[in-house]
Amino acid sequence: MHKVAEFAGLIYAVFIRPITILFEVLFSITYQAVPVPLFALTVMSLVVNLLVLPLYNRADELQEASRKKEEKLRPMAEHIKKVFSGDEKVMILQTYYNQMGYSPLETLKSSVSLLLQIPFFIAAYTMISSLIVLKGSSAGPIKDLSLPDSMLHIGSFSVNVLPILMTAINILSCLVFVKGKSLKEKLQLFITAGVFLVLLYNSPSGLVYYWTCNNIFSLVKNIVVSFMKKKEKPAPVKDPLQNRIFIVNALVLSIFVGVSIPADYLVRATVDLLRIDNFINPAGYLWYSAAIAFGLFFVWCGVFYALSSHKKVMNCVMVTITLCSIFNYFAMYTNYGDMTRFLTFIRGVDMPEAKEVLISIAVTFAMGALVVLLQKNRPKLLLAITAVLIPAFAVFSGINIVNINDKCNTYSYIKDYDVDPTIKLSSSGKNVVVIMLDRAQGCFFPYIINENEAIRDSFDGFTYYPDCISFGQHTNLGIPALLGGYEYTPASMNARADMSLKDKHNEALLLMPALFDGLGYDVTVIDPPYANYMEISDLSIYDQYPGVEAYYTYTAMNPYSDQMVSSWDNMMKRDLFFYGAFFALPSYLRPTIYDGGYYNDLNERYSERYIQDTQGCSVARGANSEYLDSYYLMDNLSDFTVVDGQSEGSFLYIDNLSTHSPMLLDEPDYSVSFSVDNTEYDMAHVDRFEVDGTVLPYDDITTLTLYEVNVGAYIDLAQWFDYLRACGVYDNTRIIIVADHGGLMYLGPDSLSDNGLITSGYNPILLVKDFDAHGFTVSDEFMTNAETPYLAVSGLIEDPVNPFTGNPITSIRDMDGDIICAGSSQHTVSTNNGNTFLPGDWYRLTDPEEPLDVDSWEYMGCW
Amino acid sequence: MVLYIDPGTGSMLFTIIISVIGFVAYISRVLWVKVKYTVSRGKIDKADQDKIPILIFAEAKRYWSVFEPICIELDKKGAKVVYWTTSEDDPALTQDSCKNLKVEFVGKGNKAFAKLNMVNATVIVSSTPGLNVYQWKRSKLADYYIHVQHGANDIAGYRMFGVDYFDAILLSGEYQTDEVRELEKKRNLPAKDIELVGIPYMDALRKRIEAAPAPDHEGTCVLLAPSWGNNSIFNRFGTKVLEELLNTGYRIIVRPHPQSFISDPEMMENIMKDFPESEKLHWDTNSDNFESLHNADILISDFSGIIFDFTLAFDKPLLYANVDFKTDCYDYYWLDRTPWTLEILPELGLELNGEDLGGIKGMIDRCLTEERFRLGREKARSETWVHMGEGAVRTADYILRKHKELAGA
Repeated sequence: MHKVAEFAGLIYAVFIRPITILFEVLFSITYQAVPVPLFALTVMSLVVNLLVLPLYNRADELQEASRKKEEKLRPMAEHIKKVFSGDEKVMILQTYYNQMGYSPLETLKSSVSLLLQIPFFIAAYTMISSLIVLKGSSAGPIKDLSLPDSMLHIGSFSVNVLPILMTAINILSCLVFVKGKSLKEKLQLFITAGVFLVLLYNSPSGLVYYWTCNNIFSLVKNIVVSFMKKKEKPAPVKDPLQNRIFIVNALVLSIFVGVSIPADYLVRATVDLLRIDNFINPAGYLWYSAAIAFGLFFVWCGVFYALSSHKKVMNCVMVTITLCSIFNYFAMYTNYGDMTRFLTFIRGVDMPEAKEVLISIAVTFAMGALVVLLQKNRPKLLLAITAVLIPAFAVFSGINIVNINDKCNTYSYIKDYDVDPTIKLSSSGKNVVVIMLDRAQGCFFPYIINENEAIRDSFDGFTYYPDCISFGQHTNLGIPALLGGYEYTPASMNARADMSLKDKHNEALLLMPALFDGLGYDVTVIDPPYANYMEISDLSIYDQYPGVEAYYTYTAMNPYSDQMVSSWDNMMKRDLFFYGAFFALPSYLRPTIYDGGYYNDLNERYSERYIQDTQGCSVARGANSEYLDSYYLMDNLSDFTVVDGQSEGSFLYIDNLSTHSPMLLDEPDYSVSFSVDNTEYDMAHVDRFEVDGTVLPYDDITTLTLYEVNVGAYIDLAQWFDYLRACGVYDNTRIIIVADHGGLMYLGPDSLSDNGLITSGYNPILLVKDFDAHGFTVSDEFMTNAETPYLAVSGLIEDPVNPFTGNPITSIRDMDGDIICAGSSQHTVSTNNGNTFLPGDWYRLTDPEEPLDVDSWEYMGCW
Repeated sequence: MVLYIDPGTGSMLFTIIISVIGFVAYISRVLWVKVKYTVSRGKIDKADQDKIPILIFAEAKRYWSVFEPICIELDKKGAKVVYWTTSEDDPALTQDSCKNLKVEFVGKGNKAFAKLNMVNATVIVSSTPGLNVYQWKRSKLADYYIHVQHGANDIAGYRMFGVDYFDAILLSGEYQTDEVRELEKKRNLPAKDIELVGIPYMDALRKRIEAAPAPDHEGTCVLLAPSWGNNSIFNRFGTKVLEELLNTGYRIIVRPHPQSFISDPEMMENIMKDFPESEKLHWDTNSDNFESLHNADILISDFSGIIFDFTLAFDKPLLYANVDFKTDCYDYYWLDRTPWTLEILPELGLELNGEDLGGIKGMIDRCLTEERFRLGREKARSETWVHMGEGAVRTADYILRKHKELAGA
């Protein structure tokens, strides 16, 4: 049954979806320019009717020609039917039709215009009847466009006027159309008009309005046609070469836009799209993008082509589109930065510079001119040029699809993961907790406790180290030192060039668990990053330590998971095609098609969505899916915590991405909301962003949203600490809150150097609470996040030693070398995975007293 | 949810439903015919590896008389010919007059057509009409199809589209060429290659007549050769025709069409019981009709091909039954002209209808004695039997010439 539904979905994608998309784009663009639904419906009706007018005219001509041919053949056909019987009748009739160049398919030609209308009806019906903007939207006497109009009231009885008006116009149109036709035909039309009035009487008024517009258009067309003399057009000359050119180009565009470009994205994003709670191979969505592209370029352009009397001209347009698409993708490719799993670019899509626009337009004209020239002189060459693209793109796509499948197979182990963690804490022994908040910014903390004193109270015993740096600005570069100490800074890892980065990274991940396991502690590890250098951690590296319980919970805690998966599924089925079209279009048209990440899907814009769309710095719609996927682990820490009175002690490592996923939260409690409006609170609490005369640039949305998710994390931690206190396991617990790196934010002129260094990227949070510590202190001591293992084992293990290298685990205080940090942006472990890190910029911290001042850093070069 | 369709569309909806149903019904019938053929044709061997240079296809054993003179002529010229027949008892299978002729029984009905439809041959010669209309389709591996006549009259006398898909037609009269050209024009078909070669089997028949001893009976001998079915003489006139014939005192040979014993067994049994074999009445059921035709002085028949063999080769008159001949299902129907057969018949003999039966003796005598019928036969021969005596040679020459052209191409 599921397969049948999928097949039906694909059929829908081929025949209906391209038209729905046309409607949606037209409506969306118009509505965003003039947010009046009736105006958008009118424009949509007008444009669609004008667009399909030549199609219908040609269909009418074909219908007429087919009817005439049938008339001509009828006497002999009737004679054959009369004098022959059985199989012979069929065979003789078939021969007769063949000889007369008539296919029985032509009986369907008489219905071409109706056949064409049906998908347009279904598309319009589907689109308009589900249009969210019509709900509650009034227009003149119509109170709600999503309901029947009920404009007239006679006593307690209400009358829908619009369907009556629509039928009146329709009858008028029929009157013009049936002029000179038989009474039977006239009656048939009028009776049917009446029947449909009854059937449609209770339809949404927006829908009826759209059809009224169509009927007005039809009326005007019929009036114009009735005054025009019918001209016999010669039948188009059959040109197999042109047909081949069309077919080849339609296929090239279908494959390129529907498969190649989306597959090129999917192969890069496969891992980001895999979910532990819904493991789906994303390559499956290529069926949908391919179906829509095939429907658009092959089926619907094919319908236009088949009915066109200017096939050469149409082919010129098709080939130009093909060549320009390829040029746009390969030559005018723009890196819009990271994407969310909902096909939106985190940085957004801006209009390109005028120079780029001019180049793009010039190339289009040049391509067009070349195509016209070839069409005139060497049409076979035109065919050859485009025909070679089919195998090229098929192979290109095929390789990508194979790679996507391989990746999915590689990561299939996540399906067996235990997603229900148990955090064991000892009430009798000692507990060490390391909480790694990805990208948590060191400098945010003073503002957070300035705004929310309760957090400061809950963080009793903590020391805050504002002058803390990380050794990289990305997790792959910053986390090894955090977990393994100074032997695992990027420079130190590169120095051990005889060993793979994967093995060195694994050593770092295992160092603290191994040490504490050796002490007989209960060890729990939650969501360690890049275990075995896999983007979704391969927890099998912990198998060698039976005392270590490792969990992977990312995506599994999200309470919105089902809705999110369903929303994503619907989005992929539609927008993956848009993604292909986006890159095939010239860069100056991309912002229009991208539409702020909504791809002109108005319903998506106005419904609960799993991407956050911010308007200014206080208002937002939707929620960031990555935040939802990670936040709920932090929100439920107490539920997973189990206090054990018998154990020797516990070590817990939690890695969390909520602080890495910027999003506006609902103030003042910083909770998740799909509709955020903090205007009032923000206006009243501007002063929260000023501490000791320094103002956090809160008007920068990136800074602000990162700040918000940091607050969210600390609120959750504060609650958990309160819970630990209540359970009596706070004082015997050492807690280190640390980040692998900071966020790349502009925090004033001191934070940005001429050579591109942003110091905020090297400023992770470091908060340390030792056993039985109380009060809240701020230390001006210089620190690095590589201090973590030393701090964790300090006092518990005498002269701690790295179990893998045999070297002592040291503190910054014992170091005498330079602090050298990696500035590389090669953050993907699937590519940056040799024995040493891929080349990148390197910086030396020359003045540890002022680590956040760019003047304290020296650029060392790129290697 | 009600599908939203405007009233104008609604009315057209009926049209489309009817069109779709009509189309589906038509296609279903076409497919059904194909399925039936596929099932009945049996297993097909893969196409012959070696190309047959010249293949003659005979749909029944009776066509051996049509092809034998051609085969002999081809054999004389050393041509290697393959002869496919659908009759297990085809005399061709036991012939010994052509050393280079390879005769094969290829099965009956659709089995034979399945083999033919895949055959790998340069030239295919046949007298079977309906190529590419019925189950017999042109093979993609065959280069050239030649039709030879098995009757000395109109080529438009076949059921519709009879010879449309042959590449060449070998004819025996100019009027036949006109018929083919008229049909081609009306059906938008490319012009076929037409060659006037004469009628080989009639030439052979003529030779056989000349070689045969003169009939040994005294007095007039009448051959009654009715065909079968509703329009046959027995079905239309009953036994009155036999009664009246016996009353003439002439010797009567009755040679019913073999099919009449199958389609009207009861009627035939009764007639044979009521009119038993006697001195004056002989029932001829031999497969070879030569003896009867040779012995008879006059033929009484309804509308069939035998009348031209009799009048033109044996040079004898006939009485033809007044059969209301309908051209409806024949290629004749497409022609603007009156079929040659119908035009020439009054010049070859008298027409017999139910009311004239009493005067049948007078009619027989008139036919036998009046000069105009002899002249009519002369005229008919000149129009429908060109190159008399040269048919086999000309046909063989044409086939070999065509084979050479194609094989050398």
